[in-house]
Amino acid sequence: MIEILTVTVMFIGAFFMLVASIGLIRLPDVYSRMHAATKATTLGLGGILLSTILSFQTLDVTTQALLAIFFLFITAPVAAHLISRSAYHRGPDLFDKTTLDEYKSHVEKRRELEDNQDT
Amino acid sequence: MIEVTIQISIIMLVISVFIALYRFFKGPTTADKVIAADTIVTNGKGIIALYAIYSGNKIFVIVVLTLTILSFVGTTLYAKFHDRGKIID
Repeated sequence: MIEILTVTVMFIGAFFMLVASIGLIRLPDVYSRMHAATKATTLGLGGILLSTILSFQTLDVTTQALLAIFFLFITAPVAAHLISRSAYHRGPDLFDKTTLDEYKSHVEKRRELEDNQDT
Repeated sequence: MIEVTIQISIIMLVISVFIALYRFFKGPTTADKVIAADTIVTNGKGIIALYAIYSGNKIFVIVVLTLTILSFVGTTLYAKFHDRGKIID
């Protein structure tokens, strides 16, 4: 029974890693690629580490794998946010069919404030 | 049954490493390349975790934990440098 559960969780994890990479080559601009890579990869590695826990079933492996999942859930969104922010500041080459850009007005307002401070 | 699934999963992860390598070499902007490098490292972490089950060696789980923290540091350093031009203000 526990073996079936291990195999299922592991296969779901590997499948979502593959989905993340397919999204990385199929999607049109930096932000959607970042979205696909981050979210699906987090789920995939979480599933694989969960299958490690289910396979070993000892205290030390459980602690280490849970700690790895915890760090992954903290660090992956922060890293993705930083990358997309720096990519936007370097020139926002958005996809043609993008309809909403809420960050643009914020960036312009901040630039005006900085210009006023300089003069 | 579990060995066959581990082999299939490792093959899927290696395929996704090669797909991410394509994006790493082609990617129009530098941010694309960093995202692809991050994906490659995450796929490597998955391969290491699967190999830990396959070989029954517990020590590889610590490697996954260490790589999680190190790849975050690398990505953050890139983003800080790319944004402001300096890493520590």
